[in-house]
Amino acid sequence: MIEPEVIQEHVDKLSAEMRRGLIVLVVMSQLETEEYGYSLLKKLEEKGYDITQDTLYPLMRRLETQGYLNSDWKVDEPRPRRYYQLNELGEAVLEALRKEWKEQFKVIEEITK
Amino acid sequence: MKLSEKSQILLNRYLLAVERRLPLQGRKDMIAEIQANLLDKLEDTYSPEEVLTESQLEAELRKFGSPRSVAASYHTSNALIAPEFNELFRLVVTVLVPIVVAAVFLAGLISFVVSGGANPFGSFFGLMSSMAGVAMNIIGGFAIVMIVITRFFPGVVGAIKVGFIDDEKDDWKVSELPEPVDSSDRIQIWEPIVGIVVNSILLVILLFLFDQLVGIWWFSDNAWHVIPIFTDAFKAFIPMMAVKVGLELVLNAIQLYQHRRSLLSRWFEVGIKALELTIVGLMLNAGRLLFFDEALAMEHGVSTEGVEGLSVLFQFDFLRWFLVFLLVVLGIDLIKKVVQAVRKTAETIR
Repeated sequence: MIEPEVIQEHVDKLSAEMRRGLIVLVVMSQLETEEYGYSLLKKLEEKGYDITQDTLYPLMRRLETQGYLNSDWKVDEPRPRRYYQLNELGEAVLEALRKEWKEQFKVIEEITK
Repeated sequence: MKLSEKSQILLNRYLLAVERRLPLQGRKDMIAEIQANLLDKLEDTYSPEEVLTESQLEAELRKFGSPRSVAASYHTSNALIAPEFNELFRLVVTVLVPIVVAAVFLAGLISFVVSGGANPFGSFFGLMSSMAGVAMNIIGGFAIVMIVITRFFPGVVGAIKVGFIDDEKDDWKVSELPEPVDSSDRIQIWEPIVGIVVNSILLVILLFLFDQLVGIWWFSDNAWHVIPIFTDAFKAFIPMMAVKVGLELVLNAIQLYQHRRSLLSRWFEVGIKALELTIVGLMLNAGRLLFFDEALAMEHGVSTEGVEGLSVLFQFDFLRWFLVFLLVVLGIDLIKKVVQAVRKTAETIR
């Protein structure tokens, strides 16, 4: 008989791998309006999506380097903050990713039922 | 939320520790953003009037993460050498290093022959250490360059593309795929390489340095001396032995090129074994092959007891017995090789 803790340990590891593949879609979907790092972290937390700052902040920078986001330091607030938002390419890619996700979801749901 | 003087110092020290571990490119921008995100979190956790103590801030910073882990998440990879260099590094290790090491080996061998076989032990170990040294220098030097590029010029890494490696990866034809190799035809790549090294040394000794190197080595008066033991009757076989070793070198080269035992190399091997057997057979009928010169031995510092002992050994004519043994072993081996070659030929014809 396998201990439930052992099973949970494996599930945690595998589900983290599964989530890793979807993080980009999740983050991009929340950047249709501009957000700064901490505001996006809170937004995702409120929606029940668990993501650590170590993952989110560098990911936003990476998406910008890959050309999907634009960023801008705003200095008119009490403290300077860097805001990110999808650019034209990012929006197009997000749209395609959404479609892809829906199709994959249908297929996977069918396979795993 | 406000920071006490001590808290501010702690925050600055923490941020400095993070900054030092961030990638060089865009470091200032990254640390500014990390600071902004950290202060956002603190402002969200504490009321605007609250003054944060050093211990409160420390607890918050611990939740935020160690400077090392925070900085590590901004590195795209923590590899010491960027994975983009993998193919190039493999090429250096598997192609460039063997070529240079082989060149060093050849140069060492030529210089040994030119020196007339002087200081054979020193030359051998010197050559081995030169070969190992040159291999390590190339691999180590290349690794250092790649580490420096990965660490300090990450922008260059992305631009590096070894075109012909990529082409080779993408472009392939069915006709270029290797034929399936039967397990009995498989050879390990090191076998012909070791064969080439050993046979090259043997050939050089047979052709150029036989008198200087082959015999009984004796250390006296702070120097090594060679006491020749082979008669002219034995030396008459040296050209035949050299031909046999030369043919083995050719066989090694064929096997290295084909990466397998082919029908050609099998029959070639049968020929070599037959020649070897012939040489041993002829040697058995060639009269006295060994002669121990007692006077010369004593002249070279061998003690009287040593000379007596060696004389008894030579009277026993151990070489002849060894040749008889060799004749039997080689005969069995030749029969085995012929059977294998015939079977393979029949399989090929079918």
